[in-house]
Amino acid sequence: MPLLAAGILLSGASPAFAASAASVLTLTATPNSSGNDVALNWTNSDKSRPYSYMLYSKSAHESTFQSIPAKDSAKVLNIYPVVAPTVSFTTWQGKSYTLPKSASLKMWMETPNEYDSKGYSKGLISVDTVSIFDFNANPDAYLKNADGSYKYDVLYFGAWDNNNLQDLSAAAEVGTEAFIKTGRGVCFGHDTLVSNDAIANPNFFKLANYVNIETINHYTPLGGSEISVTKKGLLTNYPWNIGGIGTALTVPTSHSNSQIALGDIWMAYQPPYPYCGGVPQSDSNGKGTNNFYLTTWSNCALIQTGHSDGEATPDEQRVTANTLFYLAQITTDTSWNDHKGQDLDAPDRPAISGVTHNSGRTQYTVNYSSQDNATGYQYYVEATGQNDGAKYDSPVVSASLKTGMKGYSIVVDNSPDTVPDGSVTTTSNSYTFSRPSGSSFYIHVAAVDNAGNISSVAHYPVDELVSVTHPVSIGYSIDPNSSTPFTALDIPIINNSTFPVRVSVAELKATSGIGDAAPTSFSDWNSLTAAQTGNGIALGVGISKTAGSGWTAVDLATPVYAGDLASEVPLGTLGANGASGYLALTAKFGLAWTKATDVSHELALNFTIAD
Amino acid sequence: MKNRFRKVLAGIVTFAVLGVTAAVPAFAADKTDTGTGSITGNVTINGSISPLTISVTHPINVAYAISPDAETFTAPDIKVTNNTKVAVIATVESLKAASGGTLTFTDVDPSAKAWRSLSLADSKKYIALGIAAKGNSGWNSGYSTSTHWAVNDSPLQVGTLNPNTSGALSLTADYGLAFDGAYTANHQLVFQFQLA
Repeated sequence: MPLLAAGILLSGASPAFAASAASVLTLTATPNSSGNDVALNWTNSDKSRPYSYMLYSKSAHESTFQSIPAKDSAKVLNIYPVVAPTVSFTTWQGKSYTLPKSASLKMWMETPNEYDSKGYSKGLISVDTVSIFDFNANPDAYLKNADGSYKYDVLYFGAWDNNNLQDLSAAAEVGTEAFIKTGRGVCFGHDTLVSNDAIANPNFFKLANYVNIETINHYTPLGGSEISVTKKGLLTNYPWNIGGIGTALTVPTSHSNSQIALGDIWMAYQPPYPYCGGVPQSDSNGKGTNNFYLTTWSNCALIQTGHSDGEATPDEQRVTANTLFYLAQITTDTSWNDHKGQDLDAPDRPAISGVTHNSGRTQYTVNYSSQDNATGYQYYVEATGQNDGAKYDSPVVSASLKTGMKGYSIVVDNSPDTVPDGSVTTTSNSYTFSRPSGSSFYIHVAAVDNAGNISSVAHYPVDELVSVTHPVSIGYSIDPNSSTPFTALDIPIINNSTFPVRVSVAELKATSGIGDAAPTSFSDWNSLTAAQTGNGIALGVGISKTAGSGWTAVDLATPVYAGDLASEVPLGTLGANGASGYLALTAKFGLAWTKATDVSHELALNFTIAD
Repeated sequence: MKNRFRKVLAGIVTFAVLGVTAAVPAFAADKTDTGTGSITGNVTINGSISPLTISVTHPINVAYAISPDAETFTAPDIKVTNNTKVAVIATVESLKAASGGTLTFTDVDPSAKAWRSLSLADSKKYIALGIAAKGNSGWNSGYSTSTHWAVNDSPLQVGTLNPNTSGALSLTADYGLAFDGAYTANHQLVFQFQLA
C-alpha cells in the first residue's frame, strides 16, 4: 500500500534540475536497520551562498515523490482566534502562562503529563502564540526575523469552533502563502478553510488548495468523536506511535465542514457519524471525501481540532504533535535521519510446513517459515538559494530498509480466521502447544519484523472430528436347509471425516439367544448335534470388497471371530472425505437347529484418526 | 418341545420336503457417529435362524403273514432312511392295533397268553405284535436291542441314524393258531424322528 500516494505540490512529480549547472548536489542514503530509518547526507559544491533544503522521497509503493520531514525539532507559531476563556499552565521548562483557551496548543505540547514529562511534543516542539488580530495586522512581524528569515517551521491556525468567526486578513493570507511556498508547514484548524452557505472565511479559503481541499457550497457537516487511523506513516508513529491502520482514537466531538479532502487522509470519522447525521460524499468527479479528521497535502494539513472549544483528548494531542512534526520540512542542515523511511513491508505470510503431535495428541507442534521484506526508497534533495530562491536537485538515490525477522505471533483457537495481535509468541520456526478442547482447532501464524510489521496470517485447520456413518443394526439369516445357509448383507461404513480413519473391532459378542464359540471349536461344524448347534456359533466380521472400495489399507485379511476376540483388532483404513467400504459377516455354525431361533450380537467398532 | 416327525406305518403317508427360503436381511436406519480423535460405533447384529427340516424315508405300509399250519410269522424289514443333513433319532412312538381289517386284534403282552392253546375266539382276538431294531442294518452304535410290544404305551427310542443312512426294524409276534379262515388285521405304527 502506498505510504504517500499524492503528487508533489512544491516541485513537481520528478526531480528538477533548475539551477546552476556549476553546482553539484550529491545525496547518499544509508539504511539503518536497528533504528528503522534511513540516514541521508548531502553535500553542496556551491559554498558561495546559503541554501535551505527540502527532502523528497517515495517508497517502492508510491508513484510520486513527496517532501518529507527534515528536522528533529520544530518551532511552531500558533495563530489563535480571540476568545474570552483562558487556560493557565506551566511548561516542562518551568514557565507559567495564562492564554486564551483557543491557544491551548502550547499547553498541549509543552505541559508535562502522565505520558511524557515534556508534554505531548516530547520536548521536540516549541510553540509561540499570537492572536489572529495581531497577526492580521502585521503578519511578517510575527513570521520573520529582522533579517527577513522565517522564525518558524510550522504555523498552526486555531483552534476554536468556527475559528470564532475570525478570518485572515488579506495581508495575512499573502504572508501565509509566502510562508507555505518556502516549504514550511502550515496546519489549519477547525472551521478555518471553510466556504459555504453557513460559514465562510474567504481569505483562509484562498489557501485551501495547498491542502488539496474543495468545498461543498451547502453547509454539509460530517463528524463525531470516534475516529480511526486510515493511513500509516511518519505521521502516525513519530514521535508518538499512535497505531496502525484501523486503530480507534477518541477525540472531542468535531466535524468536517463542507470540505472534500483530495489529499492524504490519515484519520477518518467512524460510522454512524453522529454529528448532525452526516453522510460521506465525494466531489462531483467522484473523488475525495468529506469523511476526514486529518488530511495533509505536501507541507500543509487540515485538522478538525477546535470544534469543542479548546478541549483535546490525549489521542488528539498526540495526533497534533505528530502532525506538527510532520510538517516541519525545511532545513539548512546537510544530514537527516529519515524516520519516514521505515521498513513498512511485512514479512511473507508464514508457510506452514506441517503439524505433528505426540502419541496422545495432547501436544502439537507446528513448523513454519517466513522471511522479512525490505521497503525500498528513493530520495533526492532540493536546494534553494536563500538569497535568490534558485532551486536545483540532487540525483535520485535509492536505499532498501529491512529490519529483519523479530518472531512469530501465534494463536491457537477454535475460530477459522483469528488474526494474531502481533505480539511475538516465539522466535523459533516451530511452536509446541497443548491441544485445545473441541474436535477441531485452528493455528494462526503471523510473522513479525523488527519494525513491528505483521505479515498476513497463515491459518491452518486441524480437524479431528471423526465422523462415520454405519447402520444401527443389520441382520443375517441361517437356513440350515439351504445349500448356502448363511446369508448377510455387507455392512457399509462411510468415512465422512477429512482424514483417513482406522476401523477396528473393539467388541463382538453374543447378547441373546446364543453363545459364542471359537471357529476352531469343531472340526466339522456340519456334524454338530442339536445341543451343540444351539449352544453357540462362531460369528466373525472382516473387510469385504477391497477392490474398488474406499479401503486404503488392510490390517487383517481374515475375519475376526467373537469367540477369538481378546482385545481390539484393527481391520483396515478407510480413506477420507466420504470414502466407503464394507465389512462382511461370516459364521461357522451347526445345522441341527430344532426350531426357529432369533439371536443377537453386539458389534462395537472403533474409528480412529489414521495418520 | 422336541421337533418330532411322526409317520403312520399303515396309512398312506406322503413325504414332503419343505424348502425354506431365507429372507434377505435388511438394514435398519443408518447412524452417523461423531467425536474427537477416536469414536466407537455400535451395530446390533440380529440373526434369524430357521429350523432344520427332518427328512426320513420309510414304507407307507408293510404286510405280515401268520401261517397257523406252519406256525410261522413272516414280515419284511421296515427300512428307514435318514435324508436329513444331520443325524436323527428314531423312536417308536406307538404300535397299536387298528380297525379296518376283518379282525381287530387286542394287543397283549407276549407272556399274557398260552399262544399255542388259544381258542378260536381268542386267536382271532389277541396278538402280541412287537418291533425292534435290526442289528447291523445301519443304526449307530448304542441302538436299542429291545422290542417294543404293541401293548406297551411307552415309546421306544430305537437308535440314531446318520445322514444318508438307512436302518431297518423287524416285526415280531406271538399269536394264536386257531384261525378258521383268512383274515386281515391292521396295526398303526407311529415313528418319531428328531434331530440327534
